[in-house]
Amino acid sequence: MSETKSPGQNGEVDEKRPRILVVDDSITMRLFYRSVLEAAGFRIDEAANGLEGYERILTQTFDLLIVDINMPKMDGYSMIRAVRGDAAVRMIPAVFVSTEAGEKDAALAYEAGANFYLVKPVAPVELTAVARLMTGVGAP
Amino acid sequence: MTASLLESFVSEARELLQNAAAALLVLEKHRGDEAAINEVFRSVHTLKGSVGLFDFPAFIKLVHAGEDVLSAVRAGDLELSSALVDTLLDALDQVGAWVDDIAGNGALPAGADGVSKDMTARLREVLPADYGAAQASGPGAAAADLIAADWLPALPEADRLAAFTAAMDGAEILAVEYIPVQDCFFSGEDPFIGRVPLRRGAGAALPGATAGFDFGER
Repeated sequence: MSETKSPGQNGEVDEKRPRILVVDDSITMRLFYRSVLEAAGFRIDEAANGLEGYERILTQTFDLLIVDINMPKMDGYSMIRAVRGDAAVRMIPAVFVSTEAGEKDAALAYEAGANFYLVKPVAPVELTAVARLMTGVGAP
Repeated sequence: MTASLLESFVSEARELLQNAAAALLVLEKHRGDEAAINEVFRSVHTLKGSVGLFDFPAFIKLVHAGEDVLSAVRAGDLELSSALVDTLLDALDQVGAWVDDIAGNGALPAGADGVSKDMTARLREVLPADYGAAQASGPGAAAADLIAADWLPALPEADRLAAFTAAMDGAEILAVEYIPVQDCFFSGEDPFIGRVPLRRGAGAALPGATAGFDFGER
């Protein structure tokens, strides 16, 4: 659950890399996001449900949220609605990732405040491309 | 996918299956227990999401069918009978056995496809007709079928993505296997430049010896 810091050039910790909060109740999915996105140069934090995710957002700064929908305690819709209703954090871009491929599910996500909707299983290349797009980081 | 991801999946899947089975047993005694139905649904739903990271199509199909049944129960469209609880528990047991296989040798056993097909049919036959049709159609279902297709992993990643995107747009995805016969050039085919007259509709009945190629839709 902790932030990962990897040494940049000269052994210094590179704090300029975009920081992503991954919110998913599946530890396997979180591990997948972390391994793909850290390899692409992002810093990753994790939360296991919407409530934990929202609490993290209130105390730490993130450049992107990657959010599951169906989670205990607080689902992804509620979490992003809460974020969008909070002036201090409402501008953080959010990508929803869901197993549901229906148009209705995507529409609900966008209504809740999603900026992008991906369907599981997400290919690493697609996940990386969307993370770069949302954080304004160009491909290497 | 990495070994640590597979280890994580095995560990998480066992926990989710335990949670789902325990919640099902609660539901059998207390049919209207909302917390229990939510727990079993979420466990199966989470399992479906994480198994999608791996190439276990038989596993995905069975979990997907279980989730559809639980979704119907949760929505009040399907009564949870004792027989249905037993069918769901059987499915969870089967999935648990497959998790053991995956833990042991990283793969599902031979025959898993057949077992999955039978158990999936048992689960889907209890779904209300219109509910089943609604769940089994549309771009989402087409994409889910595509993900579960056994030929998909053989394609390059860019092609897999293109196929998935097309399925999401409602396109019908067909896999065509082309095996040129030795004298195919004499019947107007040139596989080296991609000139092959596909005859849509002939499918598996197409005799390779006379038509110059052998392909079947899968």
